[in-house]
Amino acid sequence: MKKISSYITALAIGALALQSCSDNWEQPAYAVPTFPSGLEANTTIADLKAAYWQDSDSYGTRVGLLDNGDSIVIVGTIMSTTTPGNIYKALYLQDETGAICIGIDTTAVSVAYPMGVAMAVNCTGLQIGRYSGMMQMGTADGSGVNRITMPELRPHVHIDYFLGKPDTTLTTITELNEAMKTTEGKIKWQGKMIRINNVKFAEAGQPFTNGSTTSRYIVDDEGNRMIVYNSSYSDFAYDELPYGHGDIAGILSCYRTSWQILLNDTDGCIDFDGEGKPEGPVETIEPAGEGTLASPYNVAKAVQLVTGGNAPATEVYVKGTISEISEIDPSFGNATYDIVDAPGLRALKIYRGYWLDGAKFTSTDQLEVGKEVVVYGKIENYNNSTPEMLQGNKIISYDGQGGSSTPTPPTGDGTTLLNASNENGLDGWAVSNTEIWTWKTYNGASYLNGSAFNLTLNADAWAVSPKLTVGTGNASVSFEHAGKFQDAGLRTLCTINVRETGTTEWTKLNIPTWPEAGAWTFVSCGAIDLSAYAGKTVEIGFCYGKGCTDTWEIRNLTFVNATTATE
Amino acid sequence: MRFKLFLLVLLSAVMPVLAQTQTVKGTVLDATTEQPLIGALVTAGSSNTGVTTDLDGNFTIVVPQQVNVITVSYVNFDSQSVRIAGNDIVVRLMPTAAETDYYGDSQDLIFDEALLEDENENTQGIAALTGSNDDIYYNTASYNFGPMYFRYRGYDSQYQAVYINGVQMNDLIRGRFNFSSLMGMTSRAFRNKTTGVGLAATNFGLGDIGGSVNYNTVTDTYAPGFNGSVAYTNSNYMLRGMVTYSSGLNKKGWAYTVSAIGRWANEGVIEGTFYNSGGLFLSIEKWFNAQNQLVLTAWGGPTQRATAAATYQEVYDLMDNNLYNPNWGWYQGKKRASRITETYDPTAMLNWLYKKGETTVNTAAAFSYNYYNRSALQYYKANDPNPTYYRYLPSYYLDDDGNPTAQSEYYTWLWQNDESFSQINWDNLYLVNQLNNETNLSLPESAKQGASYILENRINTTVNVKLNSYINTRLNKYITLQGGIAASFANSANYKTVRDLLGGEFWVDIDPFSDRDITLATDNLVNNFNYPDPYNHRVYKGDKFGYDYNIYAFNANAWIQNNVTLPRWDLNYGLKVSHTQYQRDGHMRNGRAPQNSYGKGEWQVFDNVGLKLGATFKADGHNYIMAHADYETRAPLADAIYLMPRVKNDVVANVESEAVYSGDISYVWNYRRFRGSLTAFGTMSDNGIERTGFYDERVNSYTYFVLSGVKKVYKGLELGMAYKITPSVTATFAGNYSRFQYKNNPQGTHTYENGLYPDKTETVYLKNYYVGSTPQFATNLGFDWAAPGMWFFGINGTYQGDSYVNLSPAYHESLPDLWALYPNPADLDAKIKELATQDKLKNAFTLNLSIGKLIYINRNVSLNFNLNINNILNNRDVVTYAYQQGRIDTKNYNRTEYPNRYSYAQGVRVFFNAGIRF
Repeated sequence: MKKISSYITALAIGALALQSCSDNWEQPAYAVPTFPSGLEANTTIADLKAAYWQDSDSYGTRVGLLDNGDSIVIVGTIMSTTTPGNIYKALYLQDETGAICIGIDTTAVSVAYPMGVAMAVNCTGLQIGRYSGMMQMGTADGSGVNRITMPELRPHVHIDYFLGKPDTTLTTITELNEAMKTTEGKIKWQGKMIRINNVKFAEAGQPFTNGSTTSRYIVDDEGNRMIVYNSSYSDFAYDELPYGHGDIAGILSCYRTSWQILLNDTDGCIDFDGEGKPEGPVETIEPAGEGTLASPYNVAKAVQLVTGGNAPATEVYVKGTISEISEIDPSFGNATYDIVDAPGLRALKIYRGYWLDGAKFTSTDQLEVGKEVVVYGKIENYNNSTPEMLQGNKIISYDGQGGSSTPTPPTGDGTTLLNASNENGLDGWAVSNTEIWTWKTYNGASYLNGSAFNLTLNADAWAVSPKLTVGTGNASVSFEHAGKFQDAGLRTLCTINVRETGTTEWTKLNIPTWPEAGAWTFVSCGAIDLSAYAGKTVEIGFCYGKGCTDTWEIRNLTFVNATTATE
Repeated sequence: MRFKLFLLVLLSAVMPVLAQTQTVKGTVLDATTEQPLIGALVTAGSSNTGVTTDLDGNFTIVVPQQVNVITVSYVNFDSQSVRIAGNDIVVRLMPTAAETDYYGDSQDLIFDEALLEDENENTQGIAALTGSNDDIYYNTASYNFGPMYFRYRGYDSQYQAVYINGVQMNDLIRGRFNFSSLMGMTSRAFRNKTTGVGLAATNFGLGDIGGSVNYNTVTDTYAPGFNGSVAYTNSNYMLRGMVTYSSGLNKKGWAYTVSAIGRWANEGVIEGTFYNSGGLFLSIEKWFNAQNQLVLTAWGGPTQRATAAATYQEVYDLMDNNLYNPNWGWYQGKKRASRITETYDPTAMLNWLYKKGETTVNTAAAFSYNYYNRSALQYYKANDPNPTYYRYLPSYYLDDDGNPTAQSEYYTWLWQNDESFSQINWDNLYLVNQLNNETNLSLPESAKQGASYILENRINTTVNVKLNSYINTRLNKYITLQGGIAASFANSANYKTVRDLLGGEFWVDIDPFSDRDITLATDNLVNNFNYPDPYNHRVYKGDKFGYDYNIYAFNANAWIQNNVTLPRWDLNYGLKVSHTQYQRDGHMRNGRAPQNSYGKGEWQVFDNVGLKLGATFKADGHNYIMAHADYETRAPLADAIYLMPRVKNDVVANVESEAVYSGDISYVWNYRRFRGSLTAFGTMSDNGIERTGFYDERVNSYTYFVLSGVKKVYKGLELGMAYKITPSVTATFAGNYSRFQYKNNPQGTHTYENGLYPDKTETVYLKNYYVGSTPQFATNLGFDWAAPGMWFFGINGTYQGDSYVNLSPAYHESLPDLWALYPNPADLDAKIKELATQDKLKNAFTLNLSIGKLIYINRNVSLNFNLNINNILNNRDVVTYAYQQGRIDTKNYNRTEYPNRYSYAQGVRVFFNAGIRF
């Protein structure tokens, strides 16, 4: 047995020897871009900027050659990223002497040129100049400096994954404000990645943006303020500005003579201590309301509808609290202001609206932040970025004080039937075939639906309106309609008709405008003249013709100078 | 030239020394303990005279000159007939115990599963260990390390040499032996075998680094009598019936053995699978005289079975079933399988056995025909019919943060409640084809559409012809000599046929991958320009389509070996030379390679040499030290060298032979109650070639991927011990600790089947990664009790693990676009590290139980019953096989986008067998 153990020991030692070498998994080689050998800067960014600096604005200059005939080559580190969407179609290149902005005509700048890598730019042939005070490079277009396209830029640049030397310069608002006073200061500081310690946000708790590009302020302990300029396209546009004191780091841009900090992302808000933050979670408001006077939308609902692509085609009522007043203009009599459900929540911009019941504003202090209003108008997601109530809106009630409690109908002196927001749309209507004509509601909006899909129709199907009294003078009717598929007789077989009450003969009315096929988009049919029936009592009849199988959607049958007849 | 030189060496070494003796000496041992059997009966030929063994198990018998077989019998042991070869015969008898039957039977199951095929038609052969050797470690590995697809020393099956009657039967194209061609008769008709463990020397050939086994079907070695059994199990099949009858040698010198087997399951343990298999075996011997006998062996039988597929863990979790099988669906009220494997491998072999004195010569001619067909769904301009297609999974609909969405919840609901969704929706496939037909009614003949879905056969047939002769002779008191020559030829045909149009009118034979997204190169979609209308060639049921090519393979080899026996030393050394050549012969002019797809390619020629050494130092009667070394070059497999064999004749650049260096050293002890061995082994294979295939999202193409210049190292320790606690209770321990690793960064060649991109070769960073899907450590502790009244009880537990997922090259090549997402080098480094991590599989514990009972009705008739319960703890978490998908998420480089696929072992497996012999 002794032998056994000695043999085993010897073998085990031998086996361990087999195990000795390194066993780490070998990783794939880096596949990263590097500069061609020998490529280096022959000009600093500060020298480049100084050479082409003009105190006047806007006019671009083409970058030329060095005295020795060489192209001008700068090398720096890319300090910006477009990925979160706050910095847009631009990159900021920085070396030890300064930084320059290059405008590039793509939203995906950082896909090709990510933050942190080194970039060499052959500037010769590019356009350089100042735009609103900020020096930048790009390409010539007319007389200015415009964003350069990627194919144009590519031959001018190389990037190197390893040579990037990100650097953030610590400074103060006071120092920067001093620097703004001299050309040297501007050249030195414009476009750099800077950090300012121990500041707080003036609007702590508010979102970074109010739905459009928004300037927020940082304030230092001496009360100096500086703009933090935020885009509503960024992925943190609706995050909350941090509470308390902290440091801020971002790209130093400028607009004319005022500095602005552009944050790459919220990592630029560093170590905010949260002081003053309200206890408990901030309430989130559930979208609510019907858009009617009795049940106005709250702001959350209005924002949800318009950002979700479901903006109602008609005017709606929205209730909220004024959070910011941009302008009250007594000369035009309108006002632009934001309303919110609660402080810090997303705003609906009320654009150039009127005072109570459509009256004009007469003084600039007619509105006050914090007051509750109900406004009436059309809402949409303006420019796909700003939830907004469009021009022409009006206040229905202000701080609990109503104007007239029942507003006049929206379009002049007429009646609207088949109202998109009306749940009782077919009240008073006579429908000959309730399989064809139905009242439907989709995504909160209602409409009259005519469809013989999957049905066999033996006779024309009619939907006949209640009696209407047409006033003397000009009178007309219009409606909104939609039809995605128009290949089975919609435009020829489906008609709007009118007849005098008591007669049986329908008169077909011409529909001026049909919706484009291919989508369920409502369009107005245009005004259809009813003057011929002035002073008479009429009925309007929608006819869904036999043989048609398309679907026809109709709503907001609106009369001008015609109202529902009282029996 | 090298070949001829070695032939000379071989011939000069052959110096036949002819001597004759009528006295046979030998020893009889218990094969499981190596202890001598005292009082065993030894008889010669058909005579009734016999002798019994002495206290050391030795015997001496004088036999008539013409007799060349002795029969040894002993109570509770299987009788065994052995041919007289040499004058120092060692006969190892196997106990007639329940577990030996069980082991043989349970191995049938392992052999059935021995060929795995993944979604991408990559195959992995499992080198099924054949057991039945006195090496404790090897036997335990054979019988108990199966669940995680343990591979002996980590080797592929091509490194294991399998012989039948001295003829090497490994497939010339794929290198491995197809164990299922033995039809599950390994416990009876193919019961007699000689196993060479690892690098050990054997008399029938130089073997291979993964060991060698020679199945002996010479008729007179079967114990005469009848043997029948019926078995139930809950595995691939449910029922098995087997009968065998051996006549023994009659007075006219004739003997025959016949055997038949049937295996059947209406539905196997995996849902939607079935199993139908039947086989016949025949062995006839004519004993002409003491010097010459002829033996004819023939066997074969058809098998048809439905198979499952490895899939994602997400799917197993959704279905709460690790044996979920995506390859079936309801059709006309029945479960219908899409993947049906059909095999038929009839083989015939004629052996001429010559013996004179201490010289035996075995000369053989063998013929075999292998039919292998696997059905699969094919589709064109239609949705993927596979229910586990990634866009049908809830995970595809999670939001960016990985949280559920309404859609993902809906898909989850569908998976869990709608079998037309979670399984193949046959009705829908028929419906789509039917709609095509209806559309066709109004179309002119030339514009008619083909079927959107069909069921295709992927067929491989191989005709093998083998000639072989080997000699075993004694040169003098100390030295024996073995040598042999062999030649074999294989003609392997590969093509697809239409199995079922699924109600469609016809199938248009163009490449669906090429047509997927492009019209850049319209010729690329042509499968065969020799068709009259290559862009619109219609095929019907039974027609060949897709690809059609043959591979011809020829191999000739010769070997020679000396065994030297000295008082303190045993030595052996051998030499092998071989010549191999391959040729592809295409029958279609493919649009992706019109110049080099049709007709014969060049012969690929390889000449190889091998050298083998061994030594045993006999310290005393109980302690031995053994060492072996092997060096060889080996031809790459025909299956690996062609870049895209379905399409073109091209082979991998600078194709060369692989070099293999292997060595092991063992300490063996053998005392009355305690015996065992400890072995350290190390093997390096260099310049290897491996081929896989996968769908590459980056180029929208099925891609063949050939790794060349692969270096691997296999090393480890093996320990096997048996201790007799009492004379009837034995404790056995076996375990290994190994590492099987890639050891360099080989070149990988991508070949795109859609033909739109040129072949691309680049470095693949594999150094130190593990060879996948085999445990790198395994341990087993077992207790066996031969109880009074011929009851047998056994219990053992296996714990094994350190098994890793099979690698995909996509994660181990440079990723040129990755840096832009990770501008910070530290982040990039971390990401590369994450992507390149090889996932480890869970370690697994299984407990197995066996009970046997043997009843002697009388001296001649016995009954045996065995019940074996594997995985009695019902561990349903044992991964047998796992591989990383070839595709990679190039948008976000998210590893979970295309997750690994896994196969699981079944839970409790019961095997009950009742047998009778007389």
